[in-house]
Amino acid sequence: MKKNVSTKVKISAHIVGCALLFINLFMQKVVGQTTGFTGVNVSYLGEMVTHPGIKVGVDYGLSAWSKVKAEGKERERKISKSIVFSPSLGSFYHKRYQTGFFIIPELKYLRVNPKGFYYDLGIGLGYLRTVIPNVYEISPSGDINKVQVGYDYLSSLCFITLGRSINRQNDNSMSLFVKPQFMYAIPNFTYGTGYFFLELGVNLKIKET
Amino acid sequence: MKITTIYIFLMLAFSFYSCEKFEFTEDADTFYHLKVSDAVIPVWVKGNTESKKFVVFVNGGPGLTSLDVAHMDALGWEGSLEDEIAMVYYDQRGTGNAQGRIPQETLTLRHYLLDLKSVVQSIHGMYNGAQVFLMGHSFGGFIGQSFLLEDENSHLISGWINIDGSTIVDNEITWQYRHGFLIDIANEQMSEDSIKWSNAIEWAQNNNPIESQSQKEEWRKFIGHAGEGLIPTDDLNISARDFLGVIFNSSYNIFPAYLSANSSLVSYKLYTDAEGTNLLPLLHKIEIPVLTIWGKYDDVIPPQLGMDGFNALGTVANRKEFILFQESGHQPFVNQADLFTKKVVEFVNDI
Repeated sequence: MKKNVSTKVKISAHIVGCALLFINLFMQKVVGQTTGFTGVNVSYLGEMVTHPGIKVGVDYGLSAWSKVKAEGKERERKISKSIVFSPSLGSFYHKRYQTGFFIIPELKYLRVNPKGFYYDLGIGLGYLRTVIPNVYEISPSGDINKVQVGYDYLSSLCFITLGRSINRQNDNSMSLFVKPQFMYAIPNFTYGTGYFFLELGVNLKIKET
Repeated sequence: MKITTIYIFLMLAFSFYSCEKFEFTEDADTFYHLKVSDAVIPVWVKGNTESKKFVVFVNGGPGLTSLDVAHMDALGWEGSLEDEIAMVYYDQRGTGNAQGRIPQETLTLRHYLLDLKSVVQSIHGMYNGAQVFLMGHSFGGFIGQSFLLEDENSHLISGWINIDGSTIVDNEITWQYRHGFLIDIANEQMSEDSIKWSNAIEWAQNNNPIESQSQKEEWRKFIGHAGEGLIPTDDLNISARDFLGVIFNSSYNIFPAYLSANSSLVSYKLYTDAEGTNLLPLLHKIEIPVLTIWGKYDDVIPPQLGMDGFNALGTVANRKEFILFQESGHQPFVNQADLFTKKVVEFVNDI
């Protein structure tokens, strides 16, 4: 099972890498120069809020633009918008149910206002592996053996993020965010399994988008 | 990256090396899973394992769940039954907390009996010297009796507790018993409202058998609904806090458990598979000690059906008992909880 997990993780990583390269090339062709890596995210990931986990990811800006709104005679309001590719990996621990590990690249539309408040909307598609604790099996002879049981899934994700910068003194600003999200993993009985996560995290910006 | 590596290791440690204790103690709380072909069945042992008396609860529905009910202590067994004996709760395949990529073709009675056998065998295996009892409610009674009638399963069970449990999964026959139930109730209640109940008897005499939807609705008008008068309430004692506890602080993922079509599919498939089955002619093969508890006002599975099932058992007279709970409906453990606990504990301790 460990060998299969390792192989599947490698395959997933390759898929993420190829997707990243493809999207980078595509966006360069379509919208010009991408913005490169723009940030790192580290967060508490609560499956159904209370079952603890962790998630880390990086932001890779694919495209960025801004909109300037005039407010009065001498004031302007700049809204920054961008498309960000954000591969992430994480895990969660749901006691007496399962432990989950996932790799999910995310694609999101990000909007930042001059005061540092931002929101993004996005989707993701990736790989989820679950492991069920304390599983036993009765053999035909009646022996009870402990067995390892887990399942692989293709998982889709949709989310909204609300955040705010807390240190905007320089390019390496930090922001806090809250990110409710819904994941749907297939295949399973009857079709798939849903999960709700609440992500509370920190984004460390590497450079301005 | 180093921190991430450490965290992943900790998660693996939690998942692979967290272990539950199978011990004899007054307040056991042991949770494990059983892999039965494609299904992964969650099992929860709670209560007084030191008694060495384990009662496996087989819930009804079909398609209902047990682990959430146990988590909420909705039946009040935490401070009663579980103080005296060990209760074993499990979610049947395709319901609640059960996992696994279960093919829909396995939603059959045969597979549910195999799952139950695994649960029973696991208790015998994990707790040396344990006596295992089965307690089935409603459709769980049908599953329990079907289990006892199969192969050598009876030898695994020290006693059978049947709580308003089905012996017939046949709509036509069940409605014959409900027809008789109306007449019995009418005769009993005649002094309370002679006009109403005379009308009920006349209607019953002119509507035999009860087949159409309009006849069933008319029958219901005479009997009433649970909690609205004659028929005791079916409501479990669940608070909002209890329910939130299941959502946020239990082993349950609410999406497959409550927010999916799983339970209704299980109910449909299992009922369809069992439909037309009448266990009455076979019950003489059950010879182990039996306690049958029935609610006098059970409008779902009328008491006469319970009595017919009891009389059909092969168990000798001094090892079986039928108790009609005078103030109960389909769920005597709700309506007369103290008496229920007393009778179950007495039965289990007598064996």
